[in-house]
Amino acid sequence: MHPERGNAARDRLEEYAFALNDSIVQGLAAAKMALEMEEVARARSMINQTLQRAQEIIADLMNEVGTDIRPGSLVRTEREDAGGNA
Amino acid sequence: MATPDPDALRVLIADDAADIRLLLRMYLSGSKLDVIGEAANGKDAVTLVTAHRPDAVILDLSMPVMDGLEAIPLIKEASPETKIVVLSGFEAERMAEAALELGADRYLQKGVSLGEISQMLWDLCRVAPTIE
Repeated sequence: MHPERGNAARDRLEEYAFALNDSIVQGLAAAKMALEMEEVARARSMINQTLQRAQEIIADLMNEVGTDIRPGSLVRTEREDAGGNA
Repeated sequence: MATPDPDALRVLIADDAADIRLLLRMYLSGSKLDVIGEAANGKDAVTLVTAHRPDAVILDLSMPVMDGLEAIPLIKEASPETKIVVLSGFEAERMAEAALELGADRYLQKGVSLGEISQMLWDLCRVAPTIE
């Protein structure tokens, strides 16, 4: 890979890593704090916002790599259960 | 205006996430911790520390204008006795060493409970208040 393209790709990955930290990790951490304080409505709102932001980031990533969705593209190699239990 | 409790720890919260600042303030204020101010970036955190010399700062790392890593040495310079507890979304494995080398006193990863944050502040600054 051309060094400048490599740097640009690394910069983009770094940008996505920061976006994930700023939006997803912060959002979930805040929701967890809200639940600890029994602020359920606030936690629900935070989770909804975080979910929406996660979907936007994934959409951006898929647009960037130009993912061509065809039958079979969405078959996963291993199921990752919600909650993190593989 | 409420009279400040002389036994309370004086804490500054520096985080660009308004939700996190609000929740920390709500929780800590009920734990005999006096939140003396909030900052949404590292530069404002340094300014507020210089003005108020709090017992402790809860400091996020990823912030606009000036990040937490830049702010740590400036906070220590402005108020050497102020304890810095970094509260960051980044994995401790990746960031803790850099933060501690720059002068932070503790590193906590976001997701830690509010109770643990409060206890950490008391452990770091002074003995926890007696629960009556």
